[in-house]
Amino acid sequence: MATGTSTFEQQKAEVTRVPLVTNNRSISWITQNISSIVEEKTPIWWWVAMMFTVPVALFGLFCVAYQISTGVGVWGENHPVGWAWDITNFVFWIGIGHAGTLISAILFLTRQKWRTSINRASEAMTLFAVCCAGIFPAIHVGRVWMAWFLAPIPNANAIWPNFRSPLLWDVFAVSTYFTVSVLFWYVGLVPDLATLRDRAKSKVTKFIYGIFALGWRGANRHWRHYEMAYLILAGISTPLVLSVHSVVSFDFATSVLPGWHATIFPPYFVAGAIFGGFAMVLTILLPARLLYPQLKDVITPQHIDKMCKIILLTGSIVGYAYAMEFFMAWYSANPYEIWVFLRNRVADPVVFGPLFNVPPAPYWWAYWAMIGCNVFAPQVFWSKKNRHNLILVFIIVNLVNAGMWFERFVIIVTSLHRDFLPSSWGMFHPTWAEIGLFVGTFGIFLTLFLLFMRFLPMVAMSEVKIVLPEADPHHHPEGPSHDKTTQVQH
Amino acid sequence: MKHIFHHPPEKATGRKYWRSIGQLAETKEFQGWLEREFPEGASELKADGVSRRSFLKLMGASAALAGMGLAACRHPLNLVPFTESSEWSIPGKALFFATSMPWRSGAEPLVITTHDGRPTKVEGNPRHPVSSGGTGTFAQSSLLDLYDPERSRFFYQDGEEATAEDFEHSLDYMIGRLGDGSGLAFLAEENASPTRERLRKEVLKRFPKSRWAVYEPLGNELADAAHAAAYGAAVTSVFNIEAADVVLSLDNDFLGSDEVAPVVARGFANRRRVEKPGDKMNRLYVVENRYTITGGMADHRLRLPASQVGHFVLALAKELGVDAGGITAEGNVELPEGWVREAAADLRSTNGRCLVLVGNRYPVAVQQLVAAINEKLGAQGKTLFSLPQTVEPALSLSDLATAIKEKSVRTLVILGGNPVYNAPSDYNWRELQESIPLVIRLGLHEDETSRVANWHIPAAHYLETWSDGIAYDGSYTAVQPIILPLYNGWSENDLLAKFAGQPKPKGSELVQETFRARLGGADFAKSWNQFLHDGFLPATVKPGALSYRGSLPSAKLAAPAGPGAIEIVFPADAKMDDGRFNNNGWLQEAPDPITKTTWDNVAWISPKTAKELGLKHPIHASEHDLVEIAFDDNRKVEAAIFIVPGHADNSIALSLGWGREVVGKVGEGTGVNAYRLRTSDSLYYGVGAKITNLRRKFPIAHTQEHFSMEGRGLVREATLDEFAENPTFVKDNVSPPAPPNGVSLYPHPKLTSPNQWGMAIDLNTCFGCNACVIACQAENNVPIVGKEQVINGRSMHWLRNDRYFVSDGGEEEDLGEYASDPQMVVQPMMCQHCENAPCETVCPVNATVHSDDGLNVMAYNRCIGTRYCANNCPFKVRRFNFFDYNQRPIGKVKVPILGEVSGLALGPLTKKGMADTLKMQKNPNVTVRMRGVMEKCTFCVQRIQEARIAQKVKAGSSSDTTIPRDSFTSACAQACPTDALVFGDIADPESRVSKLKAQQKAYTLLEYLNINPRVTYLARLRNPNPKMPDAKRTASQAEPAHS
Amino acid sequence: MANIFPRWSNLLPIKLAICAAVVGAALTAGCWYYFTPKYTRVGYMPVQPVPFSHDIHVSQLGLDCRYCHSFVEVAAHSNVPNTQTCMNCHSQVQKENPKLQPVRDSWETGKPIEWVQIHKTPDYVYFNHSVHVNRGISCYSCHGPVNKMEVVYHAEPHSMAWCLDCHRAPEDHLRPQSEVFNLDWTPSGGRTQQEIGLELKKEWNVNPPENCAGCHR
Repeated sequence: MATGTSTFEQQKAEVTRVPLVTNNRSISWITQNISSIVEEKTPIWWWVAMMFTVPVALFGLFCVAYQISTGVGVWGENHPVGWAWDITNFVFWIGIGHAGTLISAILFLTRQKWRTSINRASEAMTLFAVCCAGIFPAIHVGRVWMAWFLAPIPNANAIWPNFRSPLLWDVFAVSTYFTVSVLFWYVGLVPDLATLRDRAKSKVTKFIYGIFALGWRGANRHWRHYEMAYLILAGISTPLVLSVHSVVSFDFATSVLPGWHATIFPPYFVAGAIFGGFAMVLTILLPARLLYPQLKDVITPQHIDKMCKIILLTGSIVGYAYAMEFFMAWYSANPYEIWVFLRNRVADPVVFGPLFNVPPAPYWWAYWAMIGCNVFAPQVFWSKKNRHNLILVFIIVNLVNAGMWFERFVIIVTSLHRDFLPSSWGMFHPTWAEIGLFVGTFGIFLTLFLLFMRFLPMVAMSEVKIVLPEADPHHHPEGPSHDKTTQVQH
Repeated sequence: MKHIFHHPPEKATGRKYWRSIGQLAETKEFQGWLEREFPEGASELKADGVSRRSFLKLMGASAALAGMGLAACRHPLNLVPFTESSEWSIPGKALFFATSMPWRSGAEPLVITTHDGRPTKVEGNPRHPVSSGGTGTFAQSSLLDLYDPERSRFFYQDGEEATAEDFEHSLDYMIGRLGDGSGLAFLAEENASPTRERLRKEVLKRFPKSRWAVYEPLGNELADAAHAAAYGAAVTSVFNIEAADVVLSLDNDFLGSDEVAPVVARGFANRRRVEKPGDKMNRLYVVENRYTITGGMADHRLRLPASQVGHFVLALAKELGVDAGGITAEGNVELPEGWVREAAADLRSTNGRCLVLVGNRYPVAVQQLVAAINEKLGAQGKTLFSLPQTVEPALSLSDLATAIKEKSVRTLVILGGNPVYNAPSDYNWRELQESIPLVIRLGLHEDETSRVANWHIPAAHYLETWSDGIAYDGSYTAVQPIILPLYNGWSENDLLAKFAGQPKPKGSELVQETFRARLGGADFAKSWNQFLHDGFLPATVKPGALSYRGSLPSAKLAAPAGPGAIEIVFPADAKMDDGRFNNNGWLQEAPDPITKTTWDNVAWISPKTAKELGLKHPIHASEHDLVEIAFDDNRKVEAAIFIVPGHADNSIALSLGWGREVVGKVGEGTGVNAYRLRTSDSLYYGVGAKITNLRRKFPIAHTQEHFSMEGRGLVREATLDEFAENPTFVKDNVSPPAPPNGVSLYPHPKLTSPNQWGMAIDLNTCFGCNACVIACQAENNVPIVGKEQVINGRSMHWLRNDRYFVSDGGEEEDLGEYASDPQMVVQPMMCQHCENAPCETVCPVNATVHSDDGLNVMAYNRCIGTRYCANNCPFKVRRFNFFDYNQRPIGKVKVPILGEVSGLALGPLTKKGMADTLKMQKNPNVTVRMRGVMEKCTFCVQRIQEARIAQKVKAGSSSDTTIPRDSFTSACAQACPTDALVFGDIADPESRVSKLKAQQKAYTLLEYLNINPRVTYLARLRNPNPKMPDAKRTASQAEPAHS
Repeated sequence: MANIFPRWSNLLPIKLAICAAVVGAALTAGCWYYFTPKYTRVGYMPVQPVPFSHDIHVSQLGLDCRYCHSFVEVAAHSNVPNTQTCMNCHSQVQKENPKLQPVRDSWETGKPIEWVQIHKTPDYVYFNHSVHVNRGISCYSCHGPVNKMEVVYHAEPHSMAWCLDCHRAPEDHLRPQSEVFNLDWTPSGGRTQQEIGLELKKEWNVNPPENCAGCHR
């Protein structure tokens, strides 16, 4: 009998899934603990963090003002390197702003329940990243006060923008992406805002949350409309996940420049973006889990494990793309293409330079930093042990963040600095103004995220509740434990 | 500064119309107008302490300065007409005046473009055989000197500011007490002006004991001595290089700094124009220590330290059976086996249709020997001719120095020049000059010499003065003022007239007198007006034969440079000349033709010697190794080295004209002064300098880091024979190949206009002399950006000359190892006006689009500055205004906390605006660009539109709107002394450009991109002598190289 | 659940909307008034130092435009007459007229008259009068009925779109060369402007530039 039961227990353990929320927490627990993050007194660490991030953000804004008032010359750009950190950072941040929509839209449509506990935070991250990204294309132009020429509005000059220019497509793609993401995020927020409203003690908070909750009362009609709206928005934004970064990649792919002129760019950029996006999600959520232990039950090792797997997959796709680029350059037998990949990027002083008998490439270090961080580092995620070693995961995802920045730097600068005519070759050296701006965007990003943590529910409560066992109509609270007791009585 | 609302009153008489501005400047209404127009300008200049009068004069030339930049001005504007109408000047219409630039080797005939009284552009005089419309770099840049805000404006007496009146008084007093002039001496620059010569004689008549010395740091002193010994002093020789089949240049940069007469360059180029297979071409042998643009054109080049050239000449003389007389040489020199033999044979084979040229600062003996060789070869009357000497011989600087030492000079009048700066260091000229009781100095700038002069008199620029000159061909040329002296300057004729006891001339009297004398009987008024109109009288004396009186001196050539005994060579600088252009921003920023360095001179050194000294060339950085070059404790300088392929070993070249101590803001702190090393017995080179590696770095701004073409088919070369065998070699193994049918994803621009503009560039006649670069800068208001920005890779030149070294190993440069003796090729590079322009498709705002006549046009005011177009430009010819280069100080500025900071980086914190005189130079038909916009070569669209509009106006109510064939051209093509650049209508099969494009050796760049450039290059050809030892190498590397 | 928002707040959204509308309108008006560039400022009619009436001089006295604007046919810029031009007549006619005092002062003192500029093309536009008036484009097309103007005003919006309208369809403005300076000319002989224009366009081979370089250099 006992043995019988034990085997029965084992079989039962095998068939039951690992729950998405551990320590089978109740619905009320979720509400209580997630809301408490917002409601309890502002913790010290939050102020400390803000004391770091806000000045950095302000310095970034100062760099913006300086550049606009003085000229693009305050950056290190030159002839031939017309774009450098500005567009590098733009693509970097846009890439980060990718995971959000992916998680909220695609995983939603594919019924990936585990998304619920991370989508809110990653969507917020998306928005903030896109904000940072938006700064760069806006101010990298020489006469920002004339940037309205980009808008296709009727004017006294009877000129339209040039619709053949990928830069213009960018403007449309990014702004669309941002708008839809905001809507999506906000719609998802509404029920939770209502929750906060109802729990709010002070009149002011009640009032503010009240305004944004749009009078949500959780009525059946509300839920019906809400879910329809959410589904539709998910449908709309799914193509955007692919379009935005494809369009960004067109900036390069449609040019004639060796190293830019590559048909592989769109898929490779999208994969890279998801890769970098998830890395950033983890970079932010792992510390958050430490700061708010209650999140450990919602954002479980299982979530982290899944994200690590995605990073491993996309990282390998990116690695494949690197290899394929190199192969294409060689296969095309085009000396200019071969030059850019071999002589501007790959050839390092130790291995490949001597191997191909060429001098080291001026930017070999950037190229190999990229390969190391993006291709080699994620390979550790093949082992489950590593995926559950949070310290290691945190290190790796940060390497990936760095690697993705290097990827954009390599693509942009190493292709530009030595192109067709050796007479016009040059090098690029960054200045304090553009370094400061880049660091500043991190300040802006983190500041916004800290504010978000403090004033909005970091986890989509209403959605997480749906994936709780309690939410299942066939859920029997008394199930297994009942048997046990009877046995004991015997 | 486009519409000109006012026009200065002019007098009806043609010969004085240039004076109108001045008269205008004096008139009350103009003063009133000025006060309204430039209140702040007025106050500024008051602050500078400029006298009101000079300010008005200065402003007088600029009839109206409308707002600059791209912004339309909003506050209500007034239209202020003059009260009196004027002739000759029509608002917004250019007037052209003929004049000529005085130069040591003969006046250069010019035509000056003026807009409302402001000279805005210098062109060659197309009617004059010497110029034929072409100009040299210096003539082009001299315009900026006219407007240099830092030119001398005031009279100084012992450092105290004085007035012109003060000076005239004391001058009269002083002249009165000169007696027979025994204490009086003049020190002048070389100049064949007959008027000056006449005044000189009159001064001498009045002061029989006075001395007249001439000094040119780069002058022909030694050449004249040798010439006098060989042919007599009564004649001077000219050579007709066009008649020579074989030319041997012994370190004579006759295409570059040694001879600015465009006629020489054109004559040489005319013999290199190969149209079809089988055409003949001259052959050039060059023996030199450093790469010059002449050496770049060589078919055979031997790199030899300057101190070994004498030995080479001896060897050549021996080979040719010329009796070297008493000329012997210390030490012996290893010359490549067969080089001298075959070269000599080749020279002999031309029986006279050849020419041997030697640098004009080589020892007299060497130059005499070369004369003997030319005699032996029979160059007499075939390529070498004589012209009567128009200038009496004068004392040399050393004669004057001795006289001063003997205290027999009590009054020294220095007419131009800058001896304190550039006299041989062993004279200690500063002390000498200080020892003279009274020194009167006439100078364009307040410089080193003015500092130790009792009187400094501001000199008038040649564009402000009446004078005359003798051109290279002996013709008599006019120097007429295009504008009244901006800063009250005196001309040297004014000063000499005073000494000759005449009043200071009001106008052209002096020149008219000279002219009348030359004229003989003819109707004066008529021919005088004709003279001013044409700018010259055709040469009356035809070149005659020289009579050689072979008397070679006995001389011993000093031991040559070798390992352990390094020589320092002092070449003329391609940009600064002898230092007179040091404050000229255009020239400062023009890249050196060989090293492509700007804003500094560098010590050129060969890779081998550099290695021996443990010196390295920086790769991808501007930090160059510093060395100390010392002959002794006083004669030493610190210079940054520059490793130049093809440089002779054990030889260092440090060009003269840099490191000025007293100079304007532009020239301040640029380069090192090589004159410190130069003594009277080493005018061109000195052997035995000590080189110490200081293990320090110095930033050098160069515009081209890379030496090698990396085997890309950019400049395509062949030898003459290879071209004959395979006329279409330029089309061979082009990789990657052009797309088969030239399909394009985007619709082609509609090229509907009857005119389609294009350009052809003959790489076989382009030496890379920079004349086009400066011409473009002057015509298109291209700003200078300063050393720091050039280091950052932001130079703004629309047109650049790419220089590559071609050798067997293209990789060497990258590996830090240099080709020791490569060949050099040059390629002018500007916007190629691609028909499928990559820049156009990517511009998000349609700021750069294609015009119906095939131009890739740029609408500055539409540009928002994304720089996408520049990134997508395969030729990297688009230039971005990273800063407000026209409005902000490009130099350093002092700031409270930060100290010295780049003015550009301070942006809005600095004072906005450019000097009024510099505004006056700007071409009113070209927008002055602001920061944040992209710019590039426009094929001088303003000239195209002008021609089109002129034709339409002419057509009126008729249908004849076709622009006459080749009736105008772009600034670069117009300036080119050799017609290497030809611009025109490619839709017209009869136009010059179409004919060139039809040649078999025509090709366009980067065919595989399917961009259809409108600029076509004609392949480079060399004509090696198959018997020469290095002929193989020349031939082997002459195929178009591709990866 | 408890009411957070009082009843009146139901109207709040509408009120907000109205405020927004008002503010928006104000902003638009402000921009329109302050920031519209000069070259589109139709109706601009400043007071001139001398009340010169084109109506009197042209319509009544029959002066030709070119008497005062003497370089319009040869130069890009159409000049404003200098005092001498005025004095040619007014040294005899209207000698005492107080309105002409500034002119006489200018003639005596040599101090120019400061006319207020009305038509101003931006600095980056290179407009050329001569090519227009020599090819059948009348003053009228750009400056309106100046001959009837007591005080000159800005008659047409000189915006780029406005220029292009004509450059794309010159037939709307082409007229016989003899009638260019006749501001009262109207198509006659039963032919419309279109017919005349198209004929002249063909006959004179008129093809105005439509690319940037035509006006921007």
